[in-house]
Amino acid sequence: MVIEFDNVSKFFGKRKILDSVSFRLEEGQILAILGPSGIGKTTLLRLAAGTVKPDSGQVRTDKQRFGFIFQEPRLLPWRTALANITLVLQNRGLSRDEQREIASTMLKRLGLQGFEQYYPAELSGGMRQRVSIARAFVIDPELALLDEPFTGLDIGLKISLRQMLLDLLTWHPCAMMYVTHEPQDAVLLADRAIVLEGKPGRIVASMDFERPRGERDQAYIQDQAAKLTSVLTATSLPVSS
Amino acid sequence: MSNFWNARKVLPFLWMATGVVAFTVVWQLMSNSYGPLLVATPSETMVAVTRLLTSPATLAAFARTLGRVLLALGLQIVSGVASGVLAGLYPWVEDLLRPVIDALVAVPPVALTLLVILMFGSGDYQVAATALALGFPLLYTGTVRAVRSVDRSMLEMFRAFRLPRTTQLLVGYLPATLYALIPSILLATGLTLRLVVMAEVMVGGGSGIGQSLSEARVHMATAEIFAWLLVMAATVLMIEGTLLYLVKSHLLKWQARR
Repeated sequence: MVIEFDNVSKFFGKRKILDSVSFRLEEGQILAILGPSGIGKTTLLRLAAGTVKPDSGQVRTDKQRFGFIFQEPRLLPWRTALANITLVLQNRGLSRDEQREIASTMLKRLGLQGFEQYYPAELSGGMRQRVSIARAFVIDPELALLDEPFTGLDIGLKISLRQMLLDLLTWHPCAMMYVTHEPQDAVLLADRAIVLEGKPGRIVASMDFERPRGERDQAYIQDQAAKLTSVLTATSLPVSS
Repeated sequence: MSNFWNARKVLPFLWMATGVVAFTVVWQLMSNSYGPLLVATPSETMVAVTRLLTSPATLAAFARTLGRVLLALGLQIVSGVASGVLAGLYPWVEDLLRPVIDALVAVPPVALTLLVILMFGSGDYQVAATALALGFPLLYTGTVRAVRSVDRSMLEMFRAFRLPRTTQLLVGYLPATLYALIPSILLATGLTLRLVVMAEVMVGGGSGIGQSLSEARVHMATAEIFAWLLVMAATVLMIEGTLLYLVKSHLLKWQARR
C-alpha cells in the first residue's frame, strides 16, 4: 500500500470541502481523480502530500518521497532550470556534482538539454512545465501527485508532455494520483478513476481500467473514455471532450 | 527603420541636454536678478566645484560624511529588515511597533534632529542615530510589505517536497524578500545621504559635508554652497546609478535576461 484515505473530511473555515473520502492506492498504481472545479480534487492531493491535515479521518502512508506537479510550474524565478531541480535533491546525501549530474540527466530526458542555465522567465510555458515534471521525478518519487499539469497548454504540447510523462513512468515507476478534467487522459494514464461530486465533495463513482496501459489501443481508450464520460454526465458534471 | 531607432536613442539625450541648458539659463537669470551674493552664477559655481574637488579638506569631509552614511544605512538595513521580517510574519509585532513607526513618520525630521541634540549632544553617533531614526520606517515598511508579498504557492511547493525549514528560509523567503526590498534599499541610500547632511548641519560634530555647508553659510560663500549642492546631487545620482547597475547586472540577472 502506498497511501490510504480512511473516511477523510476536510473543512476550510466553516465550509466542508471533502466528506468521508476513502480509497487506497497500491504500489505502482495510477489513480485518476475527476470532478468539477472547486470540488476538492486539489485538496485531496494536498492531504496526500501532507501540506494540509484532515479534520477527521486519517491519511496513512509510510512513504517519504513525494513528487508534486502543480497546475502552474511554481519554479523559483531567481534560480536556473538546473538549480530549480537540484533544490529538491538537497539533504539527500548527494554531493553538489552528483546533484547537478542527476538534474542534468533528467533535463536531457525531458528534451531540455542546453537549457540548464536558463532562468524560468527565459523558457516557454511548456518548457517550464517540463522543468517542473523533472523536479518531481528527479527524486525518484514513491508517490507522484499531479494537479492538472497540462491545463492551459495547447493540444500539441499537451500530447507531447503526456507522452513524456508515460516515458518517465517506465523509467521511474511509481504510484500516482492524477487530477484531470479529461476522461481520455484518465484512460490513457490511469489504472483506476474516481469521480468526486457534491458539496462537500465525496466519491460518487469508481472505475477500473482492466487492460494494462501498454495494451490499450485507440478503440479501448475511446470506449472507456465514453463510459467514464457517461458516469460524469450522470452525475451532471461538465465534461471536456 | 534604423533612423527611427537612432532617433529613439538620441532624442531622450537631446531633451535632457535642452533641460540642462534651460535650467542653467534660468539660474543665470535668477543670479542676475538677485545678485551673486544670494544666487551664485553658474560659472562661479563651477569654479567652486573645481576648487572643492581638488581640495584635500573637501575629500576628508566627503569621506567623513560617507562613513556616517554607511553606518546609518547599515544600521537601518539591519534593524529595519530584522524588525520588518518579524512584523511581516507576526501581526502582533507589527501592532507593537506601530506607535513607534507612526511617531517617526509623523514627526518632522528637523524636530527629531533637535531632540537628538537636546538629549545626546553632537557627534558622529548622534548624526548616524538621527539618520537611522528617520530612515528606519522606510526599510521597515518595505520589509513588512516584502515578507507579506512572498508567494504562498511557492511556500506550498517547499512543503510538498518536504524541504527543511532552513532551505525554505534561505532559498525561498530570503531571496523573495530581498528582491522585493531592493527598491526600498535604493531609495534609502539616497535618503540617508540627505538626512546625514541635514543632521550634520544641525547637530554638528566635527567635519563633514554638512559642517562645510554650515561654514560656507557663515562666511556667506554662496558659490561654495551652490557647489556643495551640485556635488551632493551628483554623488546621490552616482551612488544610486552604481547600485542600480550592480543590482541589475548581478542580483536581478534573472529579470534582466527575460
